[in-house]
Amino acid sequence: MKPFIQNRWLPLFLLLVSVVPASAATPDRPGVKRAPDPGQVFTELTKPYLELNDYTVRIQAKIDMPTIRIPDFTAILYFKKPDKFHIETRSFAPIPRESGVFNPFQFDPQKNLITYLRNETLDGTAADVFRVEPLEAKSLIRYYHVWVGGIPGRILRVESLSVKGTKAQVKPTYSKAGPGPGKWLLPEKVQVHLIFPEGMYNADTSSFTTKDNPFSAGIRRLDDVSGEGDILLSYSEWQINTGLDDRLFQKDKK
Amino acid sequence: MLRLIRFELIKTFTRWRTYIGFLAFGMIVPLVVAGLKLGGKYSFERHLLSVLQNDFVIGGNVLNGWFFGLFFMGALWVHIPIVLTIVAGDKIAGEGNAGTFRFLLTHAVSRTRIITAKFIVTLIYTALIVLFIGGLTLGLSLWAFGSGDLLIIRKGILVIPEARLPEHFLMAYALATLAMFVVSSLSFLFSALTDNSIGPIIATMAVIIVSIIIISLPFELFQAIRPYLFVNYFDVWQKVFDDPIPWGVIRSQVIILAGFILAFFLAAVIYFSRKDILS
Repeated sequence: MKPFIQNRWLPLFLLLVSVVPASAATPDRPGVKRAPDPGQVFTELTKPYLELNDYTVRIQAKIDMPTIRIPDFTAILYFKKPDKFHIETRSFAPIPRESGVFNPFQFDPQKNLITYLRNETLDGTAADVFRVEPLEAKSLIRYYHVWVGGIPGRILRVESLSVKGTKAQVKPTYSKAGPGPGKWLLPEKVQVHLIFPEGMYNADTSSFTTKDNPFSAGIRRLDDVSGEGDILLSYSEWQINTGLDDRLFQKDKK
Repeated sequence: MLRLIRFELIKTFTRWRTYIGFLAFGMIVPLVVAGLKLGGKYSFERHLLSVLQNDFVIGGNVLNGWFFGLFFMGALWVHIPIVLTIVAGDKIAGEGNAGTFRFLLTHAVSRTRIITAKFIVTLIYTALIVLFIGGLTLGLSLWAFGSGDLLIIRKGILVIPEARLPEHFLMAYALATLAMFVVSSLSFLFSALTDNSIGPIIATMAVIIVSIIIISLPFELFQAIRPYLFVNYFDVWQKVFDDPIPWGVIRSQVIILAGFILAFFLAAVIYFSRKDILS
């Protein structure tokens, strides 16, 4: 039987087979973007904030949620590296745990498992999407999807899923603030959309008595937060590196 | 009539048993406030808001004096009837037991006027004890935990701004007083039926306890009986902390409670007017 490729052409065929696909996949080819290194991207994101040791900021919050009906409130938020914070206000002030307290080191590559997902355009800006999984066992968040883009690079959007099943979509906008001529890019407004899992928590289901009797209508435990809603946080009056005392944060260790 | 009421007031407030309720609540409330102050407040806060703390960090003076004022009213108003019956149950039966009725009824005053004066004094005592407990709990709580917005936890969370709270609490205490008037009226009726003041106390508490069981159990039969039991409307005072305030519901419940008071009082008057006074 005659061979499919004659022996004298075999080295040339093998060369073509091995070389052509390799050259087609070369990262240097114009128009094809190489997948970014997640560790490098997030290290670059935190780099400008390495000198930020603490901050104080005024937060104005507007909560639009059917299950949390509270008046607009103002609070002063104190933050100290790496993750200490303290909130001062006379009002009842629930601030979204993962998105309301600005922590530039939240997605530290050393403390999270970060993988690149895709590239997409978000509101006209090209953004890389990463999946961030906290490595800490006690983390209340299963994972984040983080959109990084813009010049300079910043977080454009975050979506998260908590261990309890709450989904959050966070859209921050930034302005330059801090000492000197606009040293840091800091949040100006953060829009949070929360979706709570339906009927996720109902600790009182074992009770045999009726739920609406006058004797159970007094002060009770919050059993369930369901539905969805929006929170708009506005940040102003940034004060950076004022040397906040550690004692300020001690009473929040509850 | 005013002289009769004054006479009854003096008689009531010179008896030591009148002050049992004031003493009991005067001791228990400061004890609970001290317990909350010495560490209980944070565990209480964690317990109440643990669901919320998964997704939020909570700032502010959440569990403040207003919150604990409401908490105390919610927790204690089930127990207030016990102290009310001590005085209301003794109002008529006490006279019979002491044998002072024949002397009292020899005066040229009708039985209806005497019983009305006693009833009014019973209501005054009831209002005083509710206001005492309300003032004590709220005053001590505000002193110990400071002021702030009021956090209401029911179906979700509602926050009432601090500036609106005094009027809410005043309305709440007024409605709580009305609900307690029903208890006093029932005890007063039982007092008219007997010459032993222990009987009205036990009978009133028995009615309340049985009613609580009926309205608490989710049986179809019990739920059908529920609207006819006065304890079903005991929580009318808590409705002023809803948003929006269900004025229609409050109005109808006030009318029902007033109806119970009137019915118990009229039954007492009718029975007492025909009663043979043998002691």
